[in-house]
This record gives sequence, C-alpha cells and structure tokens, in this order.
Amino acid sequence: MPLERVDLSVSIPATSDQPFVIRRTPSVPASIEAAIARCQPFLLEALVARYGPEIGGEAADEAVAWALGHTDRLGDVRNLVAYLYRVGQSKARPSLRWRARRADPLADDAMVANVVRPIDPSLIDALRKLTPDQRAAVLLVHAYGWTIADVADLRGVAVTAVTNHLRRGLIALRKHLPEDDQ
Amino acid sequence: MNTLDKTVSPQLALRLQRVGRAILDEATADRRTRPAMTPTARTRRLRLGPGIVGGIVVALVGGAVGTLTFGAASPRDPIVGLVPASFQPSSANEIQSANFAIRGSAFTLVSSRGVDVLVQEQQSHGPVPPGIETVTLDHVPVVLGGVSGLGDKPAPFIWTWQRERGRSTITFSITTNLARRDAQPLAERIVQSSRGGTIQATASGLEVVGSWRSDEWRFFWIGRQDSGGFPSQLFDAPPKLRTRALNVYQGGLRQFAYADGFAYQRIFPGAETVRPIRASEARSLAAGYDRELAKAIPPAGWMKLSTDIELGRVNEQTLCARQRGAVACDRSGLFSRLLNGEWLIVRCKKGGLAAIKADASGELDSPSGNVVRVAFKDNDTCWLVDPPIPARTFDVGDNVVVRPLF
Repeated sequence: MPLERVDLSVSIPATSDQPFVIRRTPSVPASIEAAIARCQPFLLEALVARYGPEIGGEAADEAVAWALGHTDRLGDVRNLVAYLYRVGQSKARPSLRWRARRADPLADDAMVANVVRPIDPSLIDALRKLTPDQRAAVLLVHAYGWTIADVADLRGVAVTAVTNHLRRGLIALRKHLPEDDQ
Repeated sequence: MNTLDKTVSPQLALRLQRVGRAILDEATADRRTRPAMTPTARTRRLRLGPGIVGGIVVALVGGAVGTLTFGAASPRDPIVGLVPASFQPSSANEIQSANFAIRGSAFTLVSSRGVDVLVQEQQSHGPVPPGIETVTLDHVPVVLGGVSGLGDKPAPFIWTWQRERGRSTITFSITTNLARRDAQPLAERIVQSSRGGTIQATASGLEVVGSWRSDEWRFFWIGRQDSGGFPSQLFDAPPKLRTRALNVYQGGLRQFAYADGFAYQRIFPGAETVRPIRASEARSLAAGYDRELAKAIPPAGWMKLSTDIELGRVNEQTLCARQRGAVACDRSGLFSRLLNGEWLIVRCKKGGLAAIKADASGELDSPSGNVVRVAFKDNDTCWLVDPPIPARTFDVGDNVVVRPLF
C-alpha cells in the first residue's frame, strides 16, 4: 500500500520544550519510528502515573515495542501518545488482573514502597489513597506538567471528567496530608 | 485554600513534582537495572507478592509456556516445591498433574506478565519455623544459590549479588534447625561484602536453608553438600522444613536462577555480559553498526545483549551446529540460555554487533555473518560452568548445543 502523507499530531504537554508534531512523508518512511520515540517519554509518564513505576514502566516498553512492530497501523493515528496509551493499558492488564484483587498498583508497588516513599512518605501515602484516576490526573497535571486537556485527550474523556478527577484528587490529597504539609 | 481549587500550593506542587520525578526515575531505572524480568518473550513472570498462602496451582490463563518456577507465596510458606524445568503446561490438568508429582507443595508461579495463575489454597503446610525468610517472588530479582550442577556434582558455591544502587540493606536470617555453625561464617562474609560481589565457598555439608532479604529484593539461598549427592543432613531437619528444603534442593535453584533475567546479572560472575534487552533497543543499537543486522532483528520481544563476548569477523555466513551435541559450550551459561527462536545480540569487541539465533534444531545461526569466534572473559575461564572449563573458541562448523533450560 503506498504511503500517504500523514500528519501524526501528538498532544503537547505543557512542559514540553519542543514541538511535538511529527510529520511522516513517503520520502521519510522512518519518521514513524521517530514519532514513536518522541512519544515514549510522554507515554511513560502517562502509564507510570496510572500504574506505578513497575507496571507502568513495563507497559510503556511493551507499548513502544508493539508500536515498532505495527507501524503500518499508526499511519492515520491522530494522537499517537493516546493510542499507545491504550496499547500500554492492554499490556498492563495481565499484571493488573492479579493485582486488582488486592490493591492498587501504586500502593502495591514494592519499588514505590521501598524507593520512592522515603522521599516524601506523607505525600506518597496520601497519593496511595486516591483512586487511580485521581492519582493519575494529579500526577500528570501537577507533577509532569500536562494540561487538563492533554490528559483528557490521552484518556479519551471529557475535560470535565479530568477536572473532576483532579479536583477530587486534590481534595482527597489535602484531606490525607497533615495540615502543615499542604 | 478553596478545596474546589484545581491548583495546589507551590510547596505541594514542588513535592508532587519531586515525587513524580522519583517515580518516573524509578520506572526507567528499573528498566535499566532490571531489564530482564522477562529474559525472553516466552518466559513468563507472574508477580506474586506476599499474602497468598501457598496453594496448588489449578489453572493457567494466558497460555503460559516456558519457565515454571514455583516458590514461596507468603511469609508463612516459603519455597516448598519446584516443577521440573522442562515442564510446560498447557492446561490446568497438566498443572495439577505436576503438582501431584510433587504433592505437598505449595506454589506460586514465576512468570512474566501475561499469565494468570490461580492458586488454590492448601492447608498441608504449617507455619514456617522462625528464622526462615520467604522468597517472595514479587521481590526476587535476585536468587542466590548454586548454578549448574547443583544437584548432581560436587561443586563450590558461586554466589554473586550486588547492592542495588546503594540503597539496599541486606539482612538475612538462618534457621537454627540446620547447621548454623557452618553457615554463620559464610553468611557473615556475605554481609561484610554487602556492597556486592561474589563469594565462592565450598560448603562443608549442608549449611543452611534460608534467604536473604534486602529492601529491594529477596533471594533464596541454600547450602549444599560438598561431596555431592543428596544432602543427607536434611533428613535431620524437622519434617516440614525438610520437605521444603528437599524440594528446593531437588528442584534446583537453577530454575530460580534463570527464572528472572535479573539473576543473570546477579548470580553469574560476569553475568553482566548478557543483558536482556528489548528488540527495539537492540535494533537501535544494531542500526549504528550494521543495517542488515538491524533488519534481521525481530520487531519485538526480548533479546540478550552481550557486551563482553569477543567476536571475530570472518567471511563465513554462519556459525552453526552442523552436528549437534558436542561442544561444552552448552554449559557456558550463555548459549545454553538461548531458547529456540531466541536471538542473542553480541557486541563485538572488534566492532559491530552480531546476532545469532537458536533455531528449532538447536543450531546457532548468524544471519549477519559476524559470529565466528567466541572467547569468554575472566582469564579464559568460563565461570558459569561447574567445574569451570577453559574458554574455547568457536569455529565455523563447531557443534554448539543449545539447550533450553526452561
């Protein structure tokens, strides 16, 4: 199938210091790999925020590996990060199947418990008490600098939904953080 | 502050950013330092953490094949049984059969994502004696124990571990039911060298069954009898402990060693020579050297990157085993860890990368034509065999046994 000129537009997180619009032309067929590569850090942030470092990190890897093996499917993808986020969700599912019975991935993540938590125990403990959606929204927006619209686009939900997650997440966060910690 | 506000205070924002960065760093650091949770795409690791009382595996979901290593499931139930390495279940019935063969065991499955293991609680085991730590496979990137020949040859231990980014606090405990007298000095040596390293020690009789635990990993270790054969001392152990220990002993820590690719880097001296990497990473590496090689790399999955294998480049197209079954290399711990269809990407000291692939017939094939001579490091001694054998050079036409371990 001949390649067509396709724009691969990807959401630009607020903190991004470079344009994140990848153009793929027939003369540069390798640019899809470049697009994937540029998606990777954002994808990692998105999946880590949602699933924690262990599952999220591996899911991001899996998603990128999948993307590199299925570049033919990515030609007309509008938001590559969001698309690969879905892939990453699928890749994370087997792990979640088990973990979901017990605890939240972040809360259950040994690395978080042993490595990240000492950095800010009260905040980590408070984050653990958020719902996954709330925590993801809080981390993406306030830790990784995504805009609410970016998060909504990533997840394919309305901006108001993300706003609600964020707002409720922050309410819960403040509730669980000591007064003088806020 | 308005609780409906979507903004946060600068202090909280800073803390969130710091924590977020730490999580992100940990995710990437994890992939750097623990790249081998799945040594191959076909090796499955299931993350089972504490809280699952050991049980009988009754079903597998997800078509698990490959490594099956059963071990401890909860602090109250350490390793009690191992399924044969060659066991590749395709159905719950097979699992049950296997379990029956080593009945009395409680299992979890070491596997990567993609597999669900349903465990059925079993009450045949009582509490673990005090002092026995648990191998919680969720936290077992490192498994300490014998390597090859554990079960059938007299050999010294080769124990290797590494302190993970300086954050681990290695603690250990041993059971008093076994020969603590012998185990203690060795254990102390290990503790003293807690920055990581290798201890090669000859056990004078079965020393200890226990485990190490650190902040970041736990690993099981077991002493063994110097004279080889079965550790008769085990029979002096309390029945429950004996059952567990025997199963561990018989089942072979080898499986544990291979169950997680991290063990490559921890158990085997020089194991940093083989680092499982993503196909994508291999492709990008290869692209810098050899376009043809890059093309030859599969689109996805895991491969192994070797950095310390010295390779020469000659004109012949392949290094392959024309006749199978002759070369001692199968115990080198390198090729023996290649599965059928698995690729080994080798960085040549003389430049370039080479890829070899184990095919179903057990042949190694180098589509890039790069791989011909392989020499091991460590003064021409291959550490990964038992006993060590001199390094050898492969020539075209050499017989190389590819022995899947999983």
